[in-house]
Amino acid sequence: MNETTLDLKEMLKIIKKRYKLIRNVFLVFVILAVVISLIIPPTYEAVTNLRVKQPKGLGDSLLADLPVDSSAHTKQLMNTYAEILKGRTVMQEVIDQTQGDKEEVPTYEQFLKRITTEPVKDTEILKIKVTARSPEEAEWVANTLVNTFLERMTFLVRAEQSNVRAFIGQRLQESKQELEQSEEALQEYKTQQKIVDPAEETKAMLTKLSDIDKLAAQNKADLAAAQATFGVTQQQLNQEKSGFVADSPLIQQYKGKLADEEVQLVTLIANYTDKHPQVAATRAAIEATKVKLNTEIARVISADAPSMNPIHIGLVQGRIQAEAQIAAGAAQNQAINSIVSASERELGTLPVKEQGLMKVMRNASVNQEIYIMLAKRYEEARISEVMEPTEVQVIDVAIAPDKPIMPKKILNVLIAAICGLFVGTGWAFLKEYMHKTIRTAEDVQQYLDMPVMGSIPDFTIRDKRQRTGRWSRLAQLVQRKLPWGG
Amino acid sequence: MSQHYQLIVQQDAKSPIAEAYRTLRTNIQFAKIDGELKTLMFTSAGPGEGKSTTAANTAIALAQSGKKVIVVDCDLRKPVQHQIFNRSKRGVTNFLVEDLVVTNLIQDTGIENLRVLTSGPIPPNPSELLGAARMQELLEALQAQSDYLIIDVPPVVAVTDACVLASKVDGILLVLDSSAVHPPEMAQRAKELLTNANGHLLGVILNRVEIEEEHAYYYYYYGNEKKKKA
Repeated sequence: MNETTLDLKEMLKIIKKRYKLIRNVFLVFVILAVVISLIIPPTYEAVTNLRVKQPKGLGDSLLADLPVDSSAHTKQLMNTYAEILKGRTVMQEVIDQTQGDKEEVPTYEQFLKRITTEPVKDTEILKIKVTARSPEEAEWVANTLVNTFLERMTFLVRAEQSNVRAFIGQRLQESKQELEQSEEALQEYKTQQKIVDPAEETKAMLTKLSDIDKLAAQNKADLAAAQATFGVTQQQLNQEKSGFVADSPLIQQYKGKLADEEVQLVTLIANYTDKHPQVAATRAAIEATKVKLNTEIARVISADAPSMNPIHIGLVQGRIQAEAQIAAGAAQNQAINSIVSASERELGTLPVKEQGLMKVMRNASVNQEIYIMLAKRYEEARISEVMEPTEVQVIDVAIAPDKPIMPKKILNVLIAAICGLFVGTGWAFLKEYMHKTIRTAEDVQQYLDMPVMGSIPDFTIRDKRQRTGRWSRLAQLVQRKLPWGG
Repeated sequence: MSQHYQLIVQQDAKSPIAEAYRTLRTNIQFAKIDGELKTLMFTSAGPGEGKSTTAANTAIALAQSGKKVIVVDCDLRKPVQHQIFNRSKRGVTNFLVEDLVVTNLIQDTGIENLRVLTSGPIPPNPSELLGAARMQELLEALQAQSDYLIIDVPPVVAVTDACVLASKVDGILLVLDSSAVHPPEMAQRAKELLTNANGHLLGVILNRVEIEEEHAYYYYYYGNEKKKKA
């Protein structure tokens, strides 16, 4: 027997010879796998899907259209949300809610192991998997987790919104007082001067001024809202880290352009009605510039701070937008003031009585306008405060799984079967080659250097082959009784 | 299989195994050796390799060729020849210890030309008994009465009995079980021991040689045919 060559026939012979060993190892592996699979307590997994939308502003970013950057951004956003979800604040609350009655309350680290977040490729879906000992628990924990996460998100977003609302609310209160005062003044003037209606001439002038007054009111409300946002974001940002300035020549340029356009609008409004094509065009231009400005801001922010969390990005963005609005609003305000002073000179031509009436009426109407605008803003702020954040939506609510994910019985048994087969065969070969034995005449020559006088075949094998079981024993008994000896 | 003794050469004379024993017989009869080859010792490296069965069957094969053969069971530790031939245990030790005539102890086996001297009761000191001068006497007395003397002894590596007798016999046959897991070192050790004891090793008898199935078919052809006729 040549030890270095291992031909197929030899291998088959060995396998045939060690068939029992291979079979036993195989069986032991399979039985072990079955037993272990039965012993291991089953683990259930509940799955829930979240859709993570890109925040407003970033969504219509010019760069969002570029596929590579967009997907990288989405990925980054998903990871951020996943981290918030797996953060200590959210987790601890889920533990308290769902694990509180357990004998052994898991720690944050232990609990974290049971939760897997995985972004679904090329989508905005974040898959959250929760494992537990029972299907009900898996479902419960998964849904509690998502709810807590959403609550946390809402909390983070609302903190900003409620500040804005409070600020506008304050302004609204002030404006209401002003309105009441001016209305009282108007009423008083009317009774004092015994005037009920203004003269025709005055009426025409009022109409002419009303548009610019309306614009002034809107300007005021806008400024108030922008200042509120600015104040809130600034305050929250200061709590985080300072020193982040997103400024670029392009932003500056857009800011200037926006201010110019706002001033232009004011001049146009002074002469034409809203329906005038030039007014409409200017308004459209303002909107376009705003969009561009926001886009640029978003780009600068996301480029400068790629790893920031979306809430922070939102704050920064809000602050810069507010800043731009304040700048534009201030420019507009000046323009409005100059027009108003020009028209006031015109008013000087009217009779004194009419002038006085005009003043109080305008005052009252401006204040009313401001009040209405602020009230509108206030409602808006209130709505957005109570609105659920829409960046994250629950696509699939977790349901109790039917079957446990662990232990995977069939897979385990299959692996064990394959392993058993390999180990058994390997063992058989190892045994065959480790335990060298003298089997053939060549072996005798090799090891002992002696001739083989005789080779007696194994008759026990033949016996086994020809007669087995009870019949063979019976035959042997009969044979022993036979008088073959003498 | 050490307990399942079969005198296959006698029971199934046309079986391939009987044929193998006859080949062995021929090899023994025509072995190249200085002087005559009358006393043959069958031993093995370890226990259970089938030396007693081989010795008995070889003895039958030699007897069938018309030679007078005596089987002597010198395995005074685990004797089996009396079981194989189903005869009384009285034998070698009785001769060595008591003052008896050897002829009275030799028993017929029922096979022509073949007689057996069984071991006798198991003594406390087998090695010493086998080395005694009386043993030499016994061998000489037996040699005088036969053409071939087949001696069954304990395994070489385990006990020294075989080595004690090694120089007193004409040839030694080492039975090796080829089916057992058998480290070659053990057989080499057996050879070394016997050579050192001045024994003349004739060669090896490979026992329980595996026959592959496809060969077995031809192997048993004649045997089966005979059975069908019978």
